Amino acid sequence: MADEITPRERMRDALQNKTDKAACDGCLSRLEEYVAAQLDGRDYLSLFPEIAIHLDGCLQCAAAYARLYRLELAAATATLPQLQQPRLPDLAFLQPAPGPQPTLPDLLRAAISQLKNGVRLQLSAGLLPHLQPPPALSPTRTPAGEERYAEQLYMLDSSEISDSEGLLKLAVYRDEQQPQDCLVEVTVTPPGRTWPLLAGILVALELPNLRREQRTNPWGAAAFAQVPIAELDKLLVEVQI
Amino acid sequence: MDSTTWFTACQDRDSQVQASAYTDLFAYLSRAALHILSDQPEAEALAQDCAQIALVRIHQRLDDCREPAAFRTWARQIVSNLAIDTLRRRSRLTFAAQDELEAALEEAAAEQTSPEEEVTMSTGLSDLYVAIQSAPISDRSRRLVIGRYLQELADEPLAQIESDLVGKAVLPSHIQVTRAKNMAKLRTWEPLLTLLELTR
Repeated sequence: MADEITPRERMRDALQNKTDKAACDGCLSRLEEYVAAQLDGRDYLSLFPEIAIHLDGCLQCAAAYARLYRLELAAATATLPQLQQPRLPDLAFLQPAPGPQPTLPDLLRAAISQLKNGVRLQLSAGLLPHLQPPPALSPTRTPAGEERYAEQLYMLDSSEISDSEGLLKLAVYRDEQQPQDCLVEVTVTPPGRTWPLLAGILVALELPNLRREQRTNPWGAAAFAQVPIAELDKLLVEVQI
Repeated sequence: MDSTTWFTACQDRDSQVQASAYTDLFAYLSRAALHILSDQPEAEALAQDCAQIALVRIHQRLDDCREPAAFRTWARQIVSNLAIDTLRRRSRLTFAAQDELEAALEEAAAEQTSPEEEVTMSTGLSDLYVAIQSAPISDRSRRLVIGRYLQELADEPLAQIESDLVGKAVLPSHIQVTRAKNMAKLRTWEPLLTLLELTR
């Protein structure tokens, strides 16, 4: 051994060895190297004198050493134990990580396009889940006659994105009397126009086999009843201002 | 499968080849972890939990393995560290039952022999030698403490001496286990502490 300290000092160090967490962390982090050097026939006592002393002074680290030493011997002699009940690994980590999810403004920018004299909104299956209103804390009281459209399915406000010209709002309500259908209400508020000058704006609603048009009322609203809920993901709304 | 082939397969662009390599690696790592954890309750489940964590860590750090020929050893060291850490966190990092048993049997066999001792050691240590000879530890323990601290021997020659005495192979790790336990006893033995000017 070629270390500097004398045998007497080494024994003193081992007997007053500090077995605090930091010392054990330091020892355990290099224990594999220590065992490898030992099994390779290298002069491990000179290479790792502080670990050799720590192992004599710390029962916990000596126990870790003994377990690692025996493991390396078993690995070298191909005598590792067999499992009685082997299971398959979870290899989900090999799949590529999904990309960032689009935000509502991203989806709205993709769904709303400006026309020469208006605006067009194309709904999609990807957008609809983002348009669901938060759950109501208590049932909403509605005036008599409006209970038929009390349950709101979707809501959209183009003011979520700043670059939409002519503010467009969409609200979709389930038809209580025909639950497979809904009422689509489109409200248009072009810049600089307010009640009652919002009347007369042409709103068209298109589905694959259906096209309906309406003019807005003085509040800028146009409502379309009996729209199939199942086809909302294909709904196209065009507004001519 | 050799280490280099295994290392290459873990990075294969063919997802089936890659998955197969990681599945084989998981089985190997589970066995390595089980070796360390074999005396623990639910040892197999614990070992496979460690192997699963090791698998992900290996995948994340594959670039750190600079020697593909040593991939198997590198991977085994990751899972063995995890297994040791598991024992430590559970305050169960104690001597393995097998180490305890074998060291005790070797000690019992050694006590039945009467070896002629010829101790060669550095000068100026005779006071320590005399003190350790009268310490309340077994003859075998005395040999191991004197062998390391006064004769500056590594555990391999000490294991060979003990093997010759008991007539069976003694592992160097058992020498370490026995000496660590006896150093713990000597830590409270006043005559040695006084000689070395240590206080309890």
